[in-house]
Amino acid sequence: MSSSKSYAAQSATAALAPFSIERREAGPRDVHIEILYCGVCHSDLHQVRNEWHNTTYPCVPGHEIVGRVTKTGAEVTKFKTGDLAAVGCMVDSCRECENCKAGLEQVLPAIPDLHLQWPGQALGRHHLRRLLGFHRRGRGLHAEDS
Amino acid sequence: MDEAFTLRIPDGLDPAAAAPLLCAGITTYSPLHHWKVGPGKKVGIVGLGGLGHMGVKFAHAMGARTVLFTTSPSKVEDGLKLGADEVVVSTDAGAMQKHASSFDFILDAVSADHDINAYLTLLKLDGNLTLVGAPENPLPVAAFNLLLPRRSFSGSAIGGIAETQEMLDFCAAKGIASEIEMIDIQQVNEAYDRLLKGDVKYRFVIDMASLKN
Repeated sequence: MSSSKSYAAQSATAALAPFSIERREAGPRDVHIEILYCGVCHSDLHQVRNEWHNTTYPCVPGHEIVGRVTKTGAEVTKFKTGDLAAVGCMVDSCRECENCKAGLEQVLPAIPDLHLQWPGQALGRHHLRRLLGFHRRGRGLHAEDS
Repeated sequence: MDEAFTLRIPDGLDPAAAAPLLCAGITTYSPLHHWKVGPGKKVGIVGLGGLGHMGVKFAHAMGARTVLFTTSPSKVEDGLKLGADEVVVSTDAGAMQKHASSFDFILDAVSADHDINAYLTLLKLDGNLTLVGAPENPLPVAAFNLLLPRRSFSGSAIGGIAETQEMLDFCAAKGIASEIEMIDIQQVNEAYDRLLKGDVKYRFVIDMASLKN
């Protein structure tokens, strides 16, 4: 585990304030990204203030992320240290269903509601952010470190 | 971060102005692409905010005749600068009527309550209106606005990873990025308040170097 600086809301009525988040260790297929810029989307505000009734706190918002690769795992082929890289609304999916195989990872199969769960995401300066969980491999919907 | 879900930023894209492409960009690019917007098509974009301004840029870059609808006369000039061929102030019933039954596609990026029927009637035969905004309350739809001209009304949310990369590559090739106001992270709560008032042109981006302060 390593810790990263971030800004988090502790409740639906709290302002964002400095907060330290723990990161999981990077794996062989992971790229380590130092976040340079993060866009502010209205979805962040909805999530921070629990307007979609699904927020877990502390909530570290942000899903429009551009950064620089600082380290790559042994099995990484698409990125090298120094590359610019970006992360959006999704950090993983089941990769097995028809939608995933068709490149539609954002569309969850056969789940009646909240196909799209905006999540507890990250404004952390460093890499490996807690983002939203879409249909995370084999485990349904929940926010997850990725 | 798993490399399979990590996107490449192509050469030539400003990294700060590229950040909003990861949500506002793909949310607008995906439906425009899906509904085959291109040369010879007449396309409407409803609302000029974080999403709408990207919609105008994409529709223009795809070669469509692009018409922006806004409630704010003050945004007419910006709309034209961003690439709209025409800007219609939607509170002007006469101006709206001139466009009746003429659009191939309309992208509705408004998150506030509004009259969707006013836009459905602007679609021609087989035209589609796609919602990417998320109004809190249900939107009433008059059935006959859909029935006779076989119009359709649909929605769209972000896009897949491959399509997101395609969108970033498209932006680099066409020289497109978001219009941004850079802030320090210490200003994020103030930015939220301004966002609620629509007081941003057209996306805040946090300079994460400020997190060291």
